[in-house]
Amino acid sequence: MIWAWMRKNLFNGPGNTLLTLVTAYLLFVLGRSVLLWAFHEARWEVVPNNFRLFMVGPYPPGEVWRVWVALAVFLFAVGFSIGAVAGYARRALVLGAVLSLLVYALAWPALLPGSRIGLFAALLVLFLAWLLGAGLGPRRARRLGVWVWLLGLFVALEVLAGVPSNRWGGLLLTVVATIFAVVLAFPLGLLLALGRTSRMPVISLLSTLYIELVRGVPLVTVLFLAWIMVPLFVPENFRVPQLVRGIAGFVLFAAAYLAEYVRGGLQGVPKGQWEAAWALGLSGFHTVVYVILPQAIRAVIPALIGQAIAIFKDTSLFIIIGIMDLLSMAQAVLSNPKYLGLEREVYLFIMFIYFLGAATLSYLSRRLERAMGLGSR
Amino acid sequence: MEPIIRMEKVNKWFGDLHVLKDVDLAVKPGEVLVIIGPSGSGKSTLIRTINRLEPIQKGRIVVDGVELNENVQNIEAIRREVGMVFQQFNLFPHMTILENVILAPTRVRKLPREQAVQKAMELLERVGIADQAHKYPAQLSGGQQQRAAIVRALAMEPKIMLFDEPTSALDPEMVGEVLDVMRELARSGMTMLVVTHEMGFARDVADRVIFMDEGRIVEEGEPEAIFSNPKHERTKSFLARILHH
Repeated sequence: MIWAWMRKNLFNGPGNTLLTLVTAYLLFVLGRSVLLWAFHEARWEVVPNNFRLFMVGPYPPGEVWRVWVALAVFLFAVGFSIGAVAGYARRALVLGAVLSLLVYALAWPALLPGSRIGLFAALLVLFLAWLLGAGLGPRRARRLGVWVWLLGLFVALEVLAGVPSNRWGGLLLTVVATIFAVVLAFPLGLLLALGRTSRMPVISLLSTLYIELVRGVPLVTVLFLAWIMVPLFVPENFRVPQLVRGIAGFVLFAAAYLAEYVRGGLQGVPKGQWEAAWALGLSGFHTVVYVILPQAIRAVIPALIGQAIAIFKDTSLFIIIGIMDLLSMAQAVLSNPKYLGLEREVYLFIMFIYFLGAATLSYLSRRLERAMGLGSR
Repeated sequence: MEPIIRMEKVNKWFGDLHVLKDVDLAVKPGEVLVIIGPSGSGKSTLIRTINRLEPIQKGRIVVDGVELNENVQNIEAIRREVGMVFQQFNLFPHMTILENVILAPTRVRKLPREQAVQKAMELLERVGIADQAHKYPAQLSGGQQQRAAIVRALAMEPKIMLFDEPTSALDPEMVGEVLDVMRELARSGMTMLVVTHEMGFARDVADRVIFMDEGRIVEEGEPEAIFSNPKHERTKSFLARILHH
């Protein structure tokens, strides 16, 4: 059967046979050298030796329990949402368990004994919250979901803030910045989208101007601008933390893109939906909130999550304004003479972390899309 | 009896296109009015002016004692009293049937949820789709969706119901179930304005039939008079075309 498949797809003619053989040879040469390097030459000990730096940067070791608590709270919200959408679906639970075990096993050798317990507890919370969300049933769980997230993010932030934010770093900082940039950019983007489609000319013009302006310049310039401008808007003796200035840049930038996605979604809602809502006597505000926006947002969820993934990856630009995100930690480690010349190992590891995060988000978005497709036409 | 809808010299343009020309109309409470006419004659536009889905440029419309004008409060007040059923159903696809039905009663009439649900279930029962209450619109047949849309409008307890070609988008075997619901509604004394091509329904149910052409009311009268003995040449040719198919 394999032979039949190969004959049909790989060797169905002299041209394709040649192409197959050349490709196979190149793959072999490339794969061999990569594997040889990875198992013989690569000095992977740089990763476990600096694992804490990669994960939390200069966060004081004695305070790392805060990170575990914050992670547990965050995973509680994640688990709750998954439970609300997926219920007790066996495939999802098995997949979640396998992934968690994989992460745990990979992290195990690099973690101190206390952190092993922390990670285990946090993962356990994920599944407990999953079961809780599933147990409440989709209706109630979805209604509570927003509050779980808002409260969860607030608590997690409060716990982390026991250490000043200029000592946050690594993956921790990347994740925190991503989450807050997304959470804050979303409502701003929504307002801009409604503003641009508004019938009031001043609001529409200002929104359009903002959106087009921001979309017309590179992210780096917006980051620099926010970094310079934010302190001008607050009292002089009040120092705005670097992290807040960095996040502000992402919020301003991402909101313009989110606004365009949402606007596309708004325009995709048929006119009959507006008319049906108006004919029932719903006010303009109620029409938008209950009838139009839910449909518009549903239609653009993949694009919104795509934007979240983009923000996650783009936080690596923090390096230029001196915030110690995951990528800057890589540079910090490499500047240590002990690890001279280990760029390949370190950057591959960093890439792996980014990929893991982006792939997980993108997978979740596809599942969410399918789960929400129920009511679509 | 005082008319519940009064239209005086109503004129409407879409750009340069004059779609309603000096329309005068008075509808008594409880009256069932069927509006017929060729497509593009302005009949849908006429009923859409009554809840101001289409604004007018000249003339005046008074519904249930409230004058329709730019005043948003007036418009919303009238829309609460006037239910509408669309050709394309226009159910909200992201809500279950039950949620579709209780949205306006809970948000606009401020009815407590339990009360709204109870009322909604009674109405769904009446049109025979109570068992579909927790499904989404896309899971229902066209006839069921249109009955749900009628229930959604009725849940606001309107005084007037507007039907804009309610059976035109349905497969033929589903037309009957929707017309049955409308018949029952007419018997219960609801004031109804119906734009339709269902001449059988017009003949059975209408108190009055209006024939429109090119933005004008050309002829009106009791269904027997219009269908058996049309006076106007254009009415004759329209009926000849539509009845001989």
